[in-house]
Amino acid sequence: MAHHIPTIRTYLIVFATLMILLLLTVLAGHLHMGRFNHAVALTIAVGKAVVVLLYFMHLRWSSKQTWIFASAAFFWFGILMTLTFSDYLTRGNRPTQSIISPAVVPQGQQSEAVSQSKTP
Amino acid sequence: MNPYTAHLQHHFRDLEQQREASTLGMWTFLATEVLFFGGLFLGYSVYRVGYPDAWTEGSHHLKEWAGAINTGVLLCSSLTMALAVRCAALRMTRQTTWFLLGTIALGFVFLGIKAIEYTLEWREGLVPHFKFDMNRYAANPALGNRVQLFMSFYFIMTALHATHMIVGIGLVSWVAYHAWKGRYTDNPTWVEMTGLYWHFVDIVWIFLFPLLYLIR
Repeated sequence: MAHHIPTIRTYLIVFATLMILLLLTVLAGHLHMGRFNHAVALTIAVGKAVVVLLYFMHLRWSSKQTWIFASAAFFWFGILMTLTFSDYLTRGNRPTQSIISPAVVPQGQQSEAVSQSKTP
Repeated sequence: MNPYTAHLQHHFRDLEQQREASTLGMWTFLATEVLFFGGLFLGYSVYRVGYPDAWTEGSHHLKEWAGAINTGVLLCSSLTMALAVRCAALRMTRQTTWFLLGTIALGFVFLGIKAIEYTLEWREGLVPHFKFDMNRYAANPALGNRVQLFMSFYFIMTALHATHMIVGIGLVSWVAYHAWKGRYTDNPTWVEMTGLYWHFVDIVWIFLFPLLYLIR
């Protein structure tokens, strides 16, 4: 079998990178950056996932077919998110309105309506 | 036919082709897993945009230290798993078994910390429907209801992930037993495929940790 076998050194560097990224994401979580917190946390998560995919899951040394199969998973997940949010995010005609049921509950009365329907 | 002795099945040209087919099959399965978890990630995201205040509030109830330690434990287990796959590829039977046993041990550490976390959340009355302390939200019951929704997402997503960990520990134990018996010296593909599954479950947690515990 002629497939690539990474060295122990490669794996240790990958592991150290992942641990540093974990430390960074925890530290960044305690900074108050407003909406940037989301972006930073998700970017670091994507970075960690890519490192695991490329090295631990050997994608870096895998065939083109494997790349296509692996990409398909995330491509379809992208379709799922994009199409759903293109619906929800365009439902409310006012930016302060909740996207969940904007047409049913008028703005300002929503919290009362929810508490009446859900409180036992 | 015994898959261990007849390590090259008759419908494959050679071991390399057989390995490639296994890899593609495993990735196909993992793609279905991405969409399986994807539905929950989607629901989580829709309600996060809908009820941002409740999601911030709910996230503060979670034990960040437990989530962070568990992320570290899973990353360590991925390292031991990757080293096990490497040793299997190099036909180092004993080392393969030891690294697989290490992976299993770290898997149990993860589940143990998760169990402690669930216990604390039960005691604090954070379990929706069964034991949720609505007195906390006496002033704003609507927010309380939405925090229950957040906690529902938290419990279902982490429990589904924990179920995958239990399945993973089962698979790794099975592979460790056969590795110890020296059955992968001809064909280590089983170890490699189990590794792909284990790393995938790790990736799911890599996203669950910031989404549930960190983003506030």
